[in-house]
Amino acid sequence: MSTLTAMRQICTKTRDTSAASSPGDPGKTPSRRCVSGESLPGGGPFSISLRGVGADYSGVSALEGVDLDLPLERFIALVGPNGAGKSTLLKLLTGVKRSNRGSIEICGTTLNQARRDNLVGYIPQEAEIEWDFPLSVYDVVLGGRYGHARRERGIRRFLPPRFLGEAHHQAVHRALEAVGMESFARRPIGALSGGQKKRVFLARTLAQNPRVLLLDEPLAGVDRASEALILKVLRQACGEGKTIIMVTHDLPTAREQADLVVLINHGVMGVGTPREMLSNDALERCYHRQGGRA
Amino acid sequence: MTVFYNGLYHGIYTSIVTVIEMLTALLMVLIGFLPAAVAEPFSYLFMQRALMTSLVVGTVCGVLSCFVVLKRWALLGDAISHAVLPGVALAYLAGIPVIVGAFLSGALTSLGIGFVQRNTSIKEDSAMGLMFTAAFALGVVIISRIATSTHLMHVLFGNVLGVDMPMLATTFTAGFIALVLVFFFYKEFVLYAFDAVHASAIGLSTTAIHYGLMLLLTLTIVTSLETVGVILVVAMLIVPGATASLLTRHLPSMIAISVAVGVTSATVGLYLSFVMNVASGGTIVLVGFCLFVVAALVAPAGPLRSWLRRARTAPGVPA
Repeated sequence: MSTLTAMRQICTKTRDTSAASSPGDPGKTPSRRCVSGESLPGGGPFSISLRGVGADYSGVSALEGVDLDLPLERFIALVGPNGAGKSTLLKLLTGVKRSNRGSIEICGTTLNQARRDNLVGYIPQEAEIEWDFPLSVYDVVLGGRYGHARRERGIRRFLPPRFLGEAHHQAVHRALEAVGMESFARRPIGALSGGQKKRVFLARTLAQNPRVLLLDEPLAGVDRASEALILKVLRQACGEGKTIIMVTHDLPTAREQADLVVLINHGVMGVGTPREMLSNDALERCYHRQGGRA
Repeated sequence: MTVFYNGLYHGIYTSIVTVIEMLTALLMVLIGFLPAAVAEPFSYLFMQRALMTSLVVGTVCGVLSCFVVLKRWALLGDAISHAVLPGVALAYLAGIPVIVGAFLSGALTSLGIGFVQRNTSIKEDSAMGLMFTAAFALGVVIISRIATSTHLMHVLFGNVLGVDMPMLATTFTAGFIALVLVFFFYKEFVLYAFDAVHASAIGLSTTAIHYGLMLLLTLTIVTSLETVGVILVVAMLIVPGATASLLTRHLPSMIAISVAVGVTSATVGLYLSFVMNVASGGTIVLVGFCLFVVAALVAPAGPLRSWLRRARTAPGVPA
């Protein structure tokens, strides 16, 4: 855990905490393209870097003045009360929700470029998915390869999924194997249990092979065995150079698993080690902040 | 230059007509194998054109219908179908292709819906209801000024028996374009309908897909105008997909069943309307609805299967 000290130095640029500010403004780090799979030099760009980002829902502010730099290759938990803007933050990072202010960088490149380069993977909350949708487990996981298929040359990129190249199908098999869902490949996605559904979406992200994994409550409504498996796979992915950013309400798990905790309530309320951020004091400050303003 | 464009247009039109005539001839050979009573109405040229139109409309609506049902766009389909009316009227007045006018007014109305939603406190369904009825009312007013009530009736309820070759060529082309677009952007549309956030995360523009799908919907509605008319086209956009969704949980099969339902209701409806001398649009929709009822009864989750299961497991009943 000695790396935490170094980590804290590069990721404590927050508005509301009095944590020590980083040596050298991370905002001035020269932008570097990082392409999926390519290893980055030590101390390279941040996994995500936000400057003055905010978001509204029909005129009501959900997030305001978010300045956040998170290191690469860490397991990061986003913690905060319901409606604090955690999911909104993930939506901003996937580009589905547009921020009209501030800037977002992922792995040192612009958000749009990062999305096109398949640097961002996303695992949705259970409630966001229409489970009656007529897709099999295999179809869903193959969806993780569409971003790569789009970058191919020629007519192939436009053809329906069954015409995708062999490499894509192999990636899907490997991903399903990694989460132990191979035997369910032909099942309709709606016929699975909560834990199995989460594992399928995890497999989709593994098949996509992004640099940054965004997970919205991956452990909610999941049985013990699936939870252990999901955490194991995430840990492993983290060890292989991916950054895990996970929204969770499960504080014991966050304490146990995360390298870094970000407290959120309409803005960043603090960034630090689980020990610091999940102390009663810090949680009290975060959860009892009123409205959108400090 | 104008001469060149006219020549080009004429060339394209002639080749489309040739393709349609070849397909019609092929179809007539197949119909020749049917009993004389069934085949007889199709010896008329206008019935052959009506049959071709019905086949195109049934296929295109069948495919799009799956997306409408899965994306829960039934109300949006209803809104766009009504909103094309002023465009149809104005295009007729200006002498430009109907499809252009219809698409423009459909697109303008959907933008208007978005505008009302963003700038007032009115909810989405009310915004849709507000905008499409306004557009529809405008269309009714314009048509009542420029054409007879028979024309209005034809646009509203369709007149598949009165389809002429240029109309069939338009329907055929628009339908072909719609099918090609669905084929090439199948992955994008499915991903957008299933999980828009993931679609966005891998770099797709959800706005572009949203409007692309809306464009396709408008194109489909325009292809169906002559067959079932503005009011009933939404049935062709809901019934096939809804019927198919009862019978399968596999998307390609769902599209295939949906197309089968669309084509069957369009052709059987056309035949029945000729034989019984009743309105074609209404008959087509009613046949589709009957297919839906049958599917609902025999579906895996339907009452017939569960009744059979109960009967089989009930004690005292010999196997």
